[in-house]
Amino acid sequence: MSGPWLDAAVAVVSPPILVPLAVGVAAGLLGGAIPGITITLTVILVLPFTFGMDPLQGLATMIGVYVGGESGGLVTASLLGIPGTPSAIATTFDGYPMTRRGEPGRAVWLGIWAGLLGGLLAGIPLVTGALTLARLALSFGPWEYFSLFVLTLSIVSGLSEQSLLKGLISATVGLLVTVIGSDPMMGVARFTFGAEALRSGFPFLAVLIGVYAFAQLMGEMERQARAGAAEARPVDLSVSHLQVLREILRQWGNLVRSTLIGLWIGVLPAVGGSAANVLAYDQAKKASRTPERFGTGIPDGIVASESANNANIAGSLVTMMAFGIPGDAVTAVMLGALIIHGIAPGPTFIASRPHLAYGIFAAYFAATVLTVLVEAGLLRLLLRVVRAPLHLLVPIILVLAAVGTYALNNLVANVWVLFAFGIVGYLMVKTGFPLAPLVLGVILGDQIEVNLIRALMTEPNPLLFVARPLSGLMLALAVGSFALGVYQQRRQARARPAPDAAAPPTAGTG
Amino acid sequence: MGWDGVIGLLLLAAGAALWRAAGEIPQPPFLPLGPDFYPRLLLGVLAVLAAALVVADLRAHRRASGERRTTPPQYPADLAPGAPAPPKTPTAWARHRRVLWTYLLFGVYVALMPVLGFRLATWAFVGLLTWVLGPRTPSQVAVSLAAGLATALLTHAIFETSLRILLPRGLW
Repeated sequence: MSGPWLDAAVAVVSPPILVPLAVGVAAGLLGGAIPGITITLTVILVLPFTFGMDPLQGLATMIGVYVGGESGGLVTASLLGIPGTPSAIATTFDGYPMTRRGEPGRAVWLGIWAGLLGGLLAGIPLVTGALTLARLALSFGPWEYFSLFVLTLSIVSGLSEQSLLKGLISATVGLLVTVIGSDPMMGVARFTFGAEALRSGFPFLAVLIGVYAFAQLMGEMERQARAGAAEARPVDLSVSHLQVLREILRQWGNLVRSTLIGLWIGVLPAVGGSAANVLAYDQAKKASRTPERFGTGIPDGIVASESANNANIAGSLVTMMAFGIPGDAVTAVMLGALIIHGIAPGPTFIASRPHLAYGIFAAYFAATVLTVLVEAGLLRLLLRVVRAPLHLLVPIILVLAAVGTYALNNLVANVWVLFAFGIVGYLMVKTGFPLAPLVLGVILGDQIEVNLIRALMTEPNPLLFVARPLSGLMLALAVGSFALGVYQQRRQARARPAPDAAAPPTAGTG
Repeated sequence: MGWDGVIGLLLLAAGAALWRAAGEIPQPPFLPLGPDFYPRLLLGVLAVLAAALVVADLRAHRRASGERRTTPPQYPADLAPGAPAPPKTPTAWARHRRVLWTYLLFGVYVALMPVLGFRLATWAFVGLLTWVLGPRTPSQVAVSLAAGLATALLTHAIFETSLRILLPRGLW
């Protein structure tokens, strides 16, 4: 173990990091277990508490929430058949039938242990992948950066479950939001219409929290008005852990495949765990010799879904660490927190802040292990909080969201931005516009502009974006992902002729 | 025209207004690409996308109305003439009432926070919103008031005392 690794390992097991990390895990478990409270919401709630911490403490807390949240979601999914978070959807398919057959302990612990194994397996590619990609990105010029960001936006717009066109509009509007305020090159005021408060632009976290928090809470309120809240009964969760572990390891093929799927979905920018677990489940079913048994309460489905979930976290962290691009909404909040601490995320991040970067890796491993321990202690409590009534949770979450955005720089104006984008986000969900491209546009906006202008000022020839090999490759991939999106929508439109029968859109991810 | 078309037109109008406003951005001399270059590029992209959205919406509606003319009216099983009345589902108002109240109260909360101060405003906001969203029983009044006060005091204590974030003063 070399220098930065040893430092990071020592730091993470010392109380100043370990305690916030464990608190984060506990918060994540609780938030993840409560239906309607997603991991994104939980991390938004925790955010203001991290402002007073040093960067590694803050990031460790949020990683704790992230890893714990995935695991909390599976408890509700397995025991009540309701996904505690969207990332536990596929866990309900086999977890709940297993519980109803009288094996609730086996269902829950299969998920917890599979999450641990998937998380640890994915930790190695997390570290090597982030280091390699960051080294590659160090050779980027402004052309490559610009093309990478364009590729990112096109992937996100194309992968959003709704219309490709709406995804692209959402991304463009997000980019336009960052235009408001001083321009990043010369500091000239743009579209401020004389208002001094607009000079510094919209704070990115206020936009992000507004869009996600309101859309998710309001969606849940409407859902509960139709379906009613969850009910939990006390159950016996005792199980033989050795037997469960043996059961998981016996299907190592499934475990490895699901972990790889989770990693890949995580690396893709701004596509959350709600995609990874369903995809992994689907692939496990296709690869199985007994696909007809899926959905009847077999361990395979739980293992696939939960190992993919935890691997998905590692994948999201790779993108965040190597490029400064969020892998999903939770890492977007983390990037915002880094910026608040005055740290510029991007390819130089690992090289310039090795202490923090390796600390994040170490915190990921620690959180993965801690989750099992904390969860073992909290299982009974988790079952009780599932019934936490929404009419108490919503106001408290909104107060903390308001405090969090206010504290960005002690301005009530920030809370107005939160409110405005809270309305925008809700209306977007209602009209079928995906939120992730907008948020990504707001995050990447300034950097896209800076790199575009820098490239064109260095060399006015715009063909260089295509002629430089890496940049050209990324732009070609962007066009490819765009074309794929168009093709898939055409095919879906043909398979389903009535356009109005589309399923109601869901808000956000993981 | 459906909602998509209306949104597309609104985006086109907003884009045009911003394009005009971009003309008023001061231009530093001797720069080949001024600060208005990037916004105008984005506005151009937005215009194309918004126009495409309007066209797609119009085409979808023409197709839908064409299909409607050729097929006889189809009732969902429970709405067919003579079928028993469908089970009562919450009306649109009942579903959206809580959402609208939440937005309204949050707006008032933000407006009053600097005037009343963080603790008073939060007490009132949480108290009222839990009451509006929750079951309206007499005992709930006490729960709402207590929840509001507890949230206000706890968050204030945590953020002002431990984290040294100064919340809006106002009255209290």
